[in-house]
Amino acid sequence: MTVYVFRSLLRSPLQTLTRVLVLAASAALLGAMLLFIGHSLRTMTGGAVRSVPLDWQGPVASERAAEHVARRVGAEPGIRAAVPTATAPFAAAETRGAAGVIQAGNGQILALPANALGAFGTVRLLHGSLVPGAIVLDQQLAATLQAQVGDTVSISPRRGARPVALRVSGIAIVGASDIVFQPLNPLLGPAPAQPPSNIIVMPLGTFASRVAPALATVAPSSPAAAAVPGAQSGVSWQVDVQVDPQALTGSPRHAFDQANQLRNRVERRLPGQVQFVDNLSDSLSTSAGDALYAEALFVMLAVPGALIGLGLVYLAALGAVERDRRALFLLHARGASRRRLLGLAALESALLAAVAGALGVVIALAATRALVGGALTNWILVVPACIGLAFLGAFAARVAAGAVALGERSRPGAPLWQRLWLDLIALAVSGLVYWLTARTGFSAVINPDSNPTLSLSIYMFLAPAFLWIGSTLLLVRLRARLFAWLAPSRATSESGYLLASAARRAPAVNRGLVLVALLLAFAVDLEIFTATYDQQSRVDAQLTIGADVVISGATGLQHKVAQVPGVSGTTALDHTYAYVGPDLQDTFGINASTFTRGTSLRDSYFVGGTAHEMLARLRANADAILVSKETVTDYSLRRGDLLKLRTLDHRTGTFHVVPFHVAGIVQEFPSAPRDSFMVANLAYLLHATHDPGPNVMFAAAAGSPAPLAHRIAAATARDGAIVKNISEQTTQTVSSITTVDLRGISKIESAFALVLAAAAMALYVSVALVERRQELATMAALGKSVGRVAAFIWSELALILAASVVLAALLGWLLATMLVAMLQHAFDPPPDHLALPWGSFAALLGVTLGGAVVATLIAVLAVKRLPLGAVLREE
Amino acid sequence: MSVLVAQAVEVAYGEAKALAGVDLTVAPGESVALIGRSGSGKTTLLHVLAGLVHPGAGSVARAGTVAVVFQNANLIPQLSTVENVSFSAAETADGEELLGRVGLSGKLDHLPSELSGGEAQRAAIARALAQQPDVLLCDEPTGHLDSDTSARVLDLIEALRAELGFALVIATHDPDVAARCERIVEIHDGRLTVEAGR
Repeated sequence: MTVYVFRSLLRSPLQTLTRVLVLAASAALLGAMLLFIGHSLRTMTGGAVRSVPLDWQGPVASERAAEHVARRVGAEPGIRAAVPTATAPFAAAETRGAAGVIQAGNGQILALPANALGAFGTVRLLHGSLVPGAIVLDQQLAATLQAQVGDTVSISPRRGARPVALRVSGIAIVGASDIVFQPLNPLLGPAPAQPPSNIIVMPLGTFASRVAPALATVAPSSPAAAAVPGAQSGVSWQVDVQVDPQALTGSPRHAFDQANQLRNRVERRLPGQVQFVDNLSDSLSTSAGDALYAEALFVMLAVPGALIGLGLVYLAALGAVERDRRALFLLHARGASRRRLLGLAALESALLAAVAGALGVVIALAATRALVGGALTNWILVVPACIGLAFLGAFAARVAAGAVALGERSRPGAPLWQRLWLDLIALAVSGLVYWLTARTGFSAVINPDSNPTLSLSIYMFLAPAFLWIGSTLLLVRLRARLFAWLAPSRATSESGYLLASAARRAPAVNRGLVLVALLLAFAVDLEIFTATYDQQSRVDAQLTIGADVVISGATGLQHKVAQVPGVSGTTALDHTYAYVGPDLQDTFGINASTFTRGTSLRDSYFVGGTAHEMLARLRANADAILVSKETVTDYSLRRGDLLKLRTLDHRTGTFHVVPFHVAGIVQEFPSAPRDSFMVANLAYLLHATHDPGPNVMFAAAAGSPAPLAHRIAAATARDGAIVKNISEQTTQTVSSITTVDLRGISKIESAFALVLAAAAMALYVSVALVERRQELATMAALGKSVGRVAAFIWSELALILAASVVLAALLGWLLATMLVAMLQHAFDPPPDHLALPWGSFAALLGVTLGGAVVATLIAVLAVKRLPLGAVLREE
Repeated sequence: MSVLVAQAVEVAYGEAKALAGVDLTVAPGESVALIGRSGSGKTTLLHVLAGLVHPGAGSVARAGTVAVVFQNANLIPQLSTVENVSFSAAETADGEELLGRVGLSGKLDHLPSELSGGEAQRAAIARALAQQPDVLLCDEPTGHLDSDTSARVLDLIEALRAELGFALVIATHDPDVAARCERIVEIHDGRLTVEAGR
């Protein structure tokens, strides 16, 4: 049987090769997508892990306990570092110098072993080092105290306590201070706190001997542990742990489970001694939700492509239908049962699938490696997936083509689905599901209250799935109507014969039209979605970081930055915090006159006015403030209302009341967090907070942001400024789906769609030539020229192409609209409109037309070479 | 003056010679039966005479229009009966009228799949006649028909030839069909072996 199948395949080498190549292309798409998604999910895991400054923070009762637990935890497998640390408040700090006594308000102390600075990325030394018996000042506190390395600073642990004098051994920037100094309650989990304005870092031993005795210890389980962020009253001894990133593999979901298991194991080994606040799992959990969106994207973008690809496999299988017809009749005549015929089909499919699947894996690996580089560890999963898909595709196509060969067609008349109007029903169901999903806010990712696991709502796939099905069926129905309308009832002219012929070749034209139209629709859908996604990624990155280049961590750099070549504009702003009632909100002080020189604003960021109008309102009143919609709702505010805020006075370190007037509602703002925040005038805010100056600067780049950021970093290196640029932000954003770089996916799928669209044309013509060879030979025998005979092929192709382009544009746009709407939670902010990549559309049309022209030339050549005598003898 | 002259025609399919030096002349209005067993070269000779197959050696001269009626009718499946006839018709030919003459005036708009074997063959004859041929080549035109239908088709061809005056070359393995022709030519292994007049 195997030999028979082998011989059968080798008898038509060209058709076998075509089938293998088309199968391989479909399998390669699926394989490449699996590899790419696997890579993206691992990238998401890596991003989520890297974004956590401190993985675990475990509060303990004493320094001794901290050292003991740290030693035990550090010995556990999967742990990179475990360090005993402490945080504590201080009431004041002062220096004495030539200028007299300079005082700073309250702040926080971070105490850790002198040799543990490198274990975490939270403390970045600018000058000096951390040595026993000395302290390192945060850059801002050093600026306030005008202190330098070698100076002595007196620290008052609490009001009334004896000050402790310590030498300054270094200046540093303390990052992620909202995490480092958060209140630790393992039962409540992470609760990032308001970052202290003054921070001192000191060795744990020095802290234990010189400062801690003056302060009470916060017991790990006491209510004080869950106090209001920033209101820590005593020493919080803790163990800070960094998990080994190598221990967290695979998708965020998988890494989340691994991280939880690791934490549980460590806690179980130290019963009653420590429980951790798990910042890592918190980040991985968010990332796992985003990963589900990435998987949804995969299903919605890749699966339709692979399925349409399999449709082409059917078309390719039809190329061998003549051979099949003879072989099947022969086998039938010799008594082969249907079961045996199916067995032969399965064997043939297995042989094709083995070759095509392996080829598909190689193509997928090569394509993905070229796009993303690096190791693709999940290729072992890809092999069975590719071969399985190739087998299913080959078998289904083989059986369907076999049915055609045996003439097992449906009875004449409209098919059942047309009589039942299943096309319109499917479209109606699609619309209904879409409407229902829209009503619930397109919640693609489900997080049941009682279950901490995330899952994808399968309902969200129904709307596009039914849209695909309904559109395909409607396409077939409309094709019949359109062609019947175009074709004359009795042809008498050349064009009439062509139209009449096309109108009456329903099954062939339908399969060509469905495949080409759906392939093009798939490509259009993909191009629109990807362009919109890229557009929103840039918007998201700009919104997250603030501008092309953002300089923070230092003041008074505006002039210096503006002089750097490549800076097209700058604006300075102050980022601080203020209480609205009990809610602490990020507050931005901006210069409304220069703000758009450094970054851009979109009208969709505001409610009740354009960006231009909102800036004008800020300019009009010094105490104007823009607040979030939640704040307006929660405090029943209207435009013009007085709003009293408690803002942080940097001179005293305390909050005091400052009046503002509500000028409008802001929803999004460059560099603002996703929850509530406020925007006020810079001058008014600086006056109210006694801030030494704006602490953030936005710079717009005239060219590429990355090299400009390097130039700015070089120019401000001595000032200790932190420089970020939008390009690196685009790849670092871990809080949303934009972590998945869709450019890779779109390149793979675009190439796939283009190749298949061109292949669909060529396949359609080659199948038509096989199916119609006797008819074409008869026409030639009747004296028709090659051109007139070939016109029967290319005119069908032209009709299919024209109808496909129109339908693909409509269906592609509809699908992209649906996809963008259904994944709206992945976009932050949601797109104002879909991006239409005309260049890509032109390339798509060009390649398809090119494929059609090549196919037509093939048709002309084939008709010219048709062996009339041999063909006309065929029965 | 002859309408068809084949001289020393040779056709080979690979190593096998289908025609080996065939000479045949057909006079205007003459009817010639080409008989022989299956595989003897009848169809190949007809195809050479029609210009569908180019001889490897020898020559064929045609003095007028040549039309062919194939064994399987070979109608264009997606054109109706009348469209099939008019598709290749000469400018002055009237497809409907010709179909009326072959008894298919009631089936003008039927597709080939809706015709019986005899009807399809009559439509093929009408299509050939619409080319207003000087020579009509028929390749086993009744090979797939029952005897009654065969007789009716042959009667029709005879009547039309008598009326229109075209020459007829009919390939058949049926002696009764051959007997209707003025001249019988037998072909064996690609060579004309017997030629007899009626």
